[in-house]
Amino acid sequence: MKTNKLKIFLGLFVLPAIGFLALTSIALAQDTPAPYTGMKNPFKWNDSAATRAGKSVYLKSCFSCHGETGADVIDADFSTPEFASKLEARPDYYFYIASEGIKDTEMAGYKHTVTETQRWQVLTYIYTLGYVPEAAAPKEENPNVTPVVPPDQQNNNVKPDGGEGQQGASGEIIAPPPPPPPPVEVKMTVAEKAHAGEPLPISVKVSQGDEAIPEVPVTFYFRVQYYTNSPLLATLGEAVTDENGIAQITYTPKLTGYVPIIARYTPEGEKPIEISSLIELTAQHGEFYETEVGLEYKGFPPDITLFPMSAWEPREPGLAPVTVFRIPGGLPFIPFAAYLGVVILVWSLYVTVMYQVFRIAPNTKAKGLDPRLLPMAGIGILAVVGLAMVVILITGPYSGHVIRP
Amino acid sequence: MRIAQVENFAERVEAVSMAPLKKTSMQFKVFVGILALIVGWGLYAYATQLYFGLIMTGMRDQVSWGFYIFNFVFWVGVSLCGALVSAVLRLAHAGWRTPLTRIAELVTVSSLIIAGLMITFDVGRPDRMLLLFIVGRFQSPLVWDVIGLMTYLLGSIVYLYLPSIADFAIMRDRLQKASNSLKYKIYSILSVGWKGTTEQKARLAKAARIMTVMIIPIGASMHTVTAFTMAMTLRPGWDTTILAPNFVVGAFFSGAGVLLVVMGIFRKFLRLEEYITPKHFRYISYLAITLLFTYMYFVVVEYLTIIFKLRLEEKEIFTNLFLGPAAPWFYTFVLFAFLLPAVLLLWQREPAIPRIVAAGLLINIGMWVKRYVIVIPTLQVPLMPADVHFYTYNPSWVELSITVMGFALFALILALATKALPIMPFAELIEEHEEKQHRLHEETVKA
Repeated sequence: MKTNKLKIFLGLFVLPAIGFLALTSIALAQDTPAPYTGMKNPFKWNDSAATRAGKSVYLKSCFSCHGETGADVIDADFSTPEFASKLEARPDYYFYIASEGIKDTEMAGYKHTVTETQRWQVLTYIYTLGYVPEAAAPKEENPNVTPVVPPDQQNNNVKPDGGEGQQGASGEIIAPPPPPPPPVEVKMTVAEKAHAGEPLPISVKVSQGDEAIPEVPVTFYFRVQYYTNSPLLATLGEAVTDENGIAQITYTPKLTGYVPIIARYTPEGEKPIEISSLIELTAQHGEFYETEVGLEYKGFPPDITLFPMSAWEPREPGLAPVTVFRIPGGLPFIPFAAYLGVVILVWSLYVTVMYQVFRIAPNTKAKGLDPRLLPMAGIGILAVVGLAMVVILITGPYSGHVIRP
Repeated sequence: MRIAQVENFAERVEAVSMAPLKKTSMQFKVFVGILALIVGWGLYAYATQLYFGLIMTGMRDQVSWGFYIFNFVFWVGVSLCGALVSAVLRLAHAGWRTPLTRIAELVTVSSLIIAGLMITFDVGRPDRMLLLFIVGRFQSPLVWDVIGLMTYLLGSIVYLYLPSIADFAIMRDRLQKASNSLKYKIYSILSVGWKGTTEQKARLAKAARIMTVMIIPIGASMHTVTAFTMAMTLRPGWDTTILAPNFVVGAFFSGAGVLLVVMGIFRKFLRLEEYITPKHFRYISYLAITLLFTYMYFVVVEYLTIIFKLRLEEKEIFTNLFLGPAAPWFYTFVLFAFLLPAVLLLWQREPAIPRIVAAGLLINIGMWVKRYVIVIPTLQVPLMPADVHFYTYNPSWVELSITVMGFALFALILALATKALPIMPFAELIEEHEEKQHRLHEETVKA
């Protein structure tokens, strides 16, 4: 009797309940709620005007998380053809996500900040990020490449330029290999010292042997120094060489310290050539870009930083910067000196206390054990740790910037 | 008559203080065994974290400080117990505090060790802690915290050691017959040839005086720099000037609470009933209730000045704290740290000791919860306009295991310390008793 009742119970209530829950959870995971259900893209997926408009909205609202190719968010990778086909199949669902966001994630809803038309334009643009055309267009002929003429069609009586002909085995004239072209050289001309805040001209000459190479782009960078000393390159700009092969830009530095300026030229099809110069930038008082935060402090005592010149060289990413001796100057010197003084005082008192214990111990060896062992060890440990504390305070990582008094 | 009384007292107090060093009961072994198991499990959790990385914890990009940090703050808070009893009460010439000094100092040293461990666990790559020493910047509050912790830890160890010299000397003398044993050698080294001469006493008194006066500002500065790691930021809830005094007073308060609990436990299990009397509990409970109201004042002042103006980001944090997901923690803190202990400590019904020890336990729970309330809701405040809800923080089993391990390790260090040191400074107690008897004798002779 009981088993029958159990079967009825399972059949009528439990199994359908489980099934219902399973189906609803699957459905809810993919369901597009009203009023978005069944919406369609008013633009064609290859509408170039909508794509352009969508791109500008994308760059403003979506680029920061999703990136240039749409691949930056792993769970929503726009750059794959699969995503593009999913988008084409269910535009209402993706419009719903763009409008309302996804709960409990960082995807926010944009229905209040982006109009409906713009949201469809963004989706049209996103489609192009993943869309791969099926047939590749035929390649155009490269006009710079001369067609190779097979040797049996050559005129055997014509001597080739630049070299002496040789009689080959079959009677043809084979040209000797031309001499290798001279290497491309990039030279930079820039002042060694400059003031921050003043315009600094940088010029680069690109030449190959005696010939200058005109009308090629040269990119200028400077290496940014942060505490991690990772060799980040910040772009200063791009210039094109003139008929003398000289590219020039003007850079107004807004920082001080030893700054490497780098110019890079990439010959076609080859590896980029770089040249760098080290510039010492100092502050021009009054014209320098100063931060507005904090108290203005100057003067006495001067900032003292002692570091080897090798400290400015970039190190491998992940390595800590070089430790240098450093004592701040000006107003920060006061709290620094007070703190350092307190640390020295406290640890000296610790050593004094241990010294008292040392003096408690008699100067005899009782049964082969020196009673002064513990106090001496104590004094040693306390002195070493105290010194370590002082050293922590007076050293710091090299930061590449001169601290202005 | 008088001499016999003194000798009896001296023998008794020495026997009681030395009893744990001589015999180990089964009860103790079981207790230490359980603690060791818990510590072992915690170490396994840490090994998992070392292997897989901090992803094993619940800390993420937004809530990047979690259980480890607020446990660190809690244990640093507990550590002011020693400064309170040994130093403050010694300066106040409160003679009743003598039986408690060793316990208090042990609590301080153990809690600072646990605090240092908690920070090591939080760092994730412990080898990178060396970088704090090599490339630490003096501008960094974390460097101040490191310096403060080292200073306070070593100072507390010295301060624990100084009064024990006399005790170690007596222990060495008792072992004269077994003068080649290891124990005798250890006690000889530790007692640095103490004979009780006038000169030695003068030197020890001078050393103790220096440490007593110094350890209070060192302890206060330790808590100040711990608070500065938060107060020097611009986060809501942390960017308040009262945070450092808050931490110092809260630490004294926590310290009093822990002291009550540890006193109760040691008194019961080590049979210290004659020396740690209900009077001691009552006096410490007066301290605790004073500190309770002082801390309540600080907390109320801090919150009131923020809530009155209510900047946008502080509105977020107080919504979270009073009405949001962190509310259970906040109201638990108020109940366990303020309301219940106040009732227990003010409504003075006998028997005193269970009531007062219970209050101490509640204070500890409440202050532990308060450290959560200080650290985590601030990090939950959303930073970007697109974030409409508070960031979540769900501690993982690794963090919970290590938290429990912290408490177990604290108890384990205290338990093992009873086997290494006498739990009361009995040499000092004997001396004080002698002086008291001498004074009484003088008065009876005069009368």
